[in-house]
Amino acid sequence: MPSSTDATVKARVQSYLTSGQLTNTPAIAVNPTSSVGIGGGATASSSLVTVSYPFRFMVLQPVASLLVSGATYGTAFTLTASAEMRNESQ
Amino acid sequence: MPNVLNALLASVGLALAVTGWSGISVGAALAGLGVGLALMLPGFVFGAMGAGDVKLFAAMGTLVGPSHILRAFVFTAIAGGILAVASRRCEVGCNRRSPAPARWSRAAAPTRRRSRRRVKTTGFRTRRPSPSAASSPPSDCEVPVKDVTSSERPAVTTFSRRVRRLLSGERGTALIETAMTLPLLLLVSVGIFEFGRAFQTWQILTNAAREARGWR
Repeated sequence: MPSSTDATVKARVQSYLTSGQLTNTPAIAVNPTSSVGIGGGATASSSLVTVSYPFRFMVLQPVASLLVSGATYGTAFTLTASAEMRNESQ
Repeated sequence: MPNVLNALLASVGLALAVTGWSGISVGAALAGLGVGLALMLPGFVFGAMGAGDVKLFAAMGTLVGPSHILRAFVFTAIAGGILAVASRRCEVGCNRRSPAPARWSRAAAPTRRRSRRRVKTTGFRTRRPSPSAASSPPSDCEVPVKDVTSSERPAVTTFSRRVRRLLSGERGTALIETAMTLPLLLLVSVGIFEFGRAFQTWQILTNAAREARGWR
């Protein structure tokens, strides 16, 4: 969209996550020059937004560390989601 | 709770500490045993819990060490308090609902009380002489039976009876089965909750990415 920047996108992601009660700091990557296949071997310019979020189990990890001291089972891992959309011609 | 199980649990805890598999030193395992014992002893002294609870907690201390057994004690106390309150409330509710004691007539009450009296059996056949038999002399065909009291019971017989009861008795089987299956059930339940939460988080991330993509 015109007059939209990466900072705007990141702020929107952060706002959405906050409203979803996700308070950890996500890693947000915006790639406005990606390409997407549109069939027939042709590609088009697209924008790709990737959000990575550190997720930690609430109960499983403490239980695992209680059973086996120093166990790393269930420690924080990264959930990743991405969305891609074809760029509109300006 | 049989002492054998507690001793076995403590032995396993110490063995795991010696081999290093439990991640705590032998000193920490012994400290855990002492802390568990010290934490639960006051409850036993004041009659709030049985000796089996104390021994079980001390044995658990060898598995998890002093710091974790302290935490377990706090959680156990909280859970026990909640259970006690719930049990008390249920008891009060049940008493309110059942009008049975009010229906008792005064004439019937002593009879009920008498019938409720527990008869303690010793397991030894004893024959008490009836008043008529005591007054009359014993006949030739009557075999005198010695009245065996608990003080005269042979120690070996008592020990063998206890061992036999330990091997063949099924009291507490349900408790042991529950203790074995409950962690698995809890793990499955908690796993469903945790992975459901992870999936929900991933959905929020996907929606956030789609939403933000529209802003670019």
